[in-house]
Amino acid sequence: MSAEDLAAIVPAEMGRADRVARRRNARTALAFMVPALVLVLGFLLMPVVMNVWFSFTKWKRFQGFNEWAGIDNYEKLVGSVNFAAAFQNTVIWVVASLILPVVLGLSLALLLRNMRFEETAKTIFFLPRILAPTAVGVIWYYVYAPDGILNNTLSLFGLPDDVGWLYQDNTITYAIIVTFVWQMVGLPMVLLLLGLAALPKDPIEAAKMDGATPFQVFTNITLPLLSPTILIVVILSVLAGFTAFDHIWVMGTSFPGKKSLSLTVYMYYEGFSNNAWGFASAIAVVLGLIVLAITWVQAIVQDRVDRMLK
Amino acid sequence: MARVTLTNLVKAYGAHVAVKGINLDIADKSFVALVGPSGCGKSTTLRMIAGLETVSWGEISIAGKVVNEVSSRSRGVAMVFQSYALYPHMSVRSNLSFGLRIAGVAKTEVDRRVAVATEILELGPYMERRPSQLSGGQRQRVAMGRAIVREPQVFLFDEPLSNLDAKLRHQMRVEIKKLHRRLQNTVIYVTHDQVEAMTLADQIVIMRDGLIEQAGTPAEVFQHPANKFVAGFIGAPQMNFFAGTVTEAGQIRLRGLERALDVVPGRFDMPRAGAPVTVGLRPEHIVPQDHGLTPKNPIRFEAEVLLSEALGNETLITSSIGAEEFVTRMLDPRDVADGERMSFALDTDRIHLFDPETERSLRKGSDN
Ligand SMILES: Nc1ncnc2c1ncn2[C@@H]1O[C@H](COP(=O)(O)OP(=O)(O)OP(=O)(O)O)[C@@H](O)[C@H]1O
Ligand SMILES: [Mg+2]
Repeated sequence: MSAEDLAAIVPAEMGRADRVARRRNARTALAFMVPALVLVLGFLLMPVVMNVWFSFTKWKRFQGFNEWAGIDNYEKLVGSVNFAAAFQNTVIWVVASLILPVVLGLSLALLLRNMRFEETAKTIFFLPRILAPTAVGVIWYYVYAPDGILNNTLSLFGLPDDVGWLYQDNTITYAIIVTFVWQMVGLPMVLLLLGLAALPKDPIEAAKMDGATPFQVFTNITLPLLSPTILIVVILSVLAGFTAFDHIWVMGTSFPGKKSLSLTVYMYYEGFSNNAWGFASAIAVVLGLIVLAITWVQAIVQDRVDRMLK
Repeated sequence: MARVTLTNLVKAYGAHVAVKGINLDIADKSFVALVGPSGCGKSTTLRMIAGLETVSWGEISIAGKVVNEVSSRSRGVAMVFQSYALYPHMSVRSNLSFGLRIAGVAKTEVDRRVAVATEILELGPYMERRPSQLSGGQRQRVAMGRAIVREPQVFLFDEPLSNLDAKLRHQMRVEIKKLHRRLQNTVIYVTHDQVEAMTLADQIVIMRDGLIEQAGTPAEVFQHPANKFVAGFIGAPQMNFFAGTVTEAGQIRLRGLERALDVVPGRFDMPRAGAPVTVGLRPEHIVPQDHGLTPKNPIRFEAEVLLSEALGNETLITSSIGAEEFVTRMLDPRDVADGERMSFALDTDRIHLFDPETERSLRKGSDN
C-alpha cells in the first residue's frame, strides 16, 4: 500500500473507530451519571421550577395553590415595607461580608503567620466555626443583653452602658453581623494562610532585591498573587452572609417589623409562620435571582484574575 | 568601589551548619565563580550576600561597608535567580521597570534604562508579554534585564543558565561575558557547570561542605589544584588517581607498571621512601599511541580497553593499570573494540602528587 492510499484510508477508518468508541463512551458515561442526574432533577431542578410556579399562585395555608395570581405576589413585594427593610439589611450583610471576612481574615493570617504558636492560635480562631450557629446566637444574645457582658464592660470604661443592642433599629443588624463574623472568620483566615503558604517565594525575594519595602512587596506582589484565594474567600463569605439565617432568627427580637430582617428570614417568616406560601415563593425567586447575579459578577472577576495571572 | 569581602562567614540552620566560616576577598569589577558539589553551601553564601538569609556569624562588607544588618534593597546588589523569579502578573516591560518605579525614578529615566536593557538583551518583541508567554531563554533574559536596569554595584547569579539547553547556554554565556565587560560591575556567579566557571570567571572558588577548598584563577586551580578534591572537581573527564609508593631512588612505583615514574626534581615535597602517595594524571596525559600529544618523558605500557565512548571528535577510553581504572581521551579517533589491547604513553612530567592522608597537594608552594 502506498503512502497516498494510507492517507486516504486512515482518516475514514480512524473516523469510524473513533465514532464507535465515542458512542460506547457516551453510553458508559450516561450509566454512571444516572444516579446523580436523578438526584439533580428530583431534588434540585424540580423544586426550583415548582418554586417559580408557586410564586405566581395564591397559595396560602391549604388553599389557592391552583389559583393563578399573575404577578400579584411580586407587586405586593415591591410595595412591602418589610421587604424593603429586609432588602436593605441584606445589602448591608452582603457589603459587610464582602469586606470584613477578607480584611479580618487576611490581617489574622498575616499576624499569625510564622508566629510561634501559629497552630494553637489558628485553632482558637477556627473554634467558633464548629459550634452550632443557633447556640452561638443564644450566647451572644446574652452578651448583648441590656445588663450583659458588653454593657458591663462598657461601663467599666465609663462609656454609655444602656445600649439595647438587639432592641434598637440602628444597632441590631450590625450587632448580629459582628457575631456572625466572629463565628465565621476562622475559615477565611485558614484559607488565606494556606494561600499565603502556597505563594511562590521567588518573586517575593526578587521584589526585595528589586528594592521594594515590605509594604511594597505586599501590595505589588503578595496581594496580586494571592488574588485567586482572596476571590474564593470573598465568594464564600458573600454567599454565607447573603444566606445567613440562624443568627438573625435567634438574635432578632421579633418578626416582622424589626430592622434585623433579612430576605432569608423574611421568606421563612412569610412561609412557615404566616403560611403565605405563594408570597414566600416570590421572595425566594428574588433571592435566587440575586444569587445568580452575584455568581455572574464572580465569573467575570474570576476571568479577570485568571487572565492577570496567566 | 564595590569590593565584596566575606570574613569568617557562617550560616547555621538550627543544628545544621551550611556555611562553616568562609573568607573571601572579591576585588572590584572582578568576576568570581562559586563552584562545588550540590549542597556545599554556594546558594546559601550568595543569599547571605544578597541579604535574603541572615548571617549567623562573621561579616559581609560591600564597598567598604559592613552590610550584615542592611536590608536587601539597600545593598546595591541585584540577583538573577535560577528559577528566574519573574513577576507572573506583570508584562515584561513592567518586570523590567518595577524596581525603578518603586524607587521613584523619573519616568524618562526609567524608559531610558529599560530601553537600554531591552536593546542589549534583544527583548523588544516581547515587551508586552507575560512571563508565561515566553520561552525559558527569553525568561532568562528578562531576569537579567531586571538586574541590569538597576545598575547595581554587584551582580549575583545563582545558576542562571542551568535550565537552558546546551546551545542557548553557550549563547547566554557569551552574552554574560560581554555584559560584564561592558558594565564593569562585580559579579558573583554560582554554577554547577565548570565550563561556565572556567570561561567566565577570573577567579574560581571551589567549595565543599560549607568550606572553601581553593580560590584562584582558572589556570591556577586547573594546573595547581591544592588538593585531591579540587583536582577531581575541576576538569572533565575528571583526573585519574592511582595509589603509588615512593621508591628508594625517589621515583614512584604504581602497581601494575614495570617501570617506576620519574619525578621532576624539586617540584614536590617528596615523602620518605616507602611511603604511600596518591598520583593524579589528567586524561589527556595518558595518551593512546599515535592519538594525542607525544609526552616528553613517557612511560609506555599496554592495557586492555574496558570501555570506549565515541564522542565524534574524540573517544573516551576506559582502561586500567593494575586494578585501577583510568580514563583517557583518544584524539583523532579510530574505531576501538572493547577488549582490544592498546598501547599508552603516560606523561611523567605531568603527574600530580597528593598526600593520601590529608589529600593535600605535595607540590611545593601550594600551601592553601
Ligand atoms: N532553609 C534551610 N533550612 C535548612 N537547611 C538548609 C536550608 N537551605 C539550605 N539548607 C542546607 O544547607 C546546605 C547548603 O545548601 P545550598 O542551597 O547553599 O547548596 P548549594 O551549594 O547551592 O547546592 P546546589 O548546587 O544543589 O544548589 C544544604 O545541605 C541544604 O540542605
Ligand atoms: Mg544552589
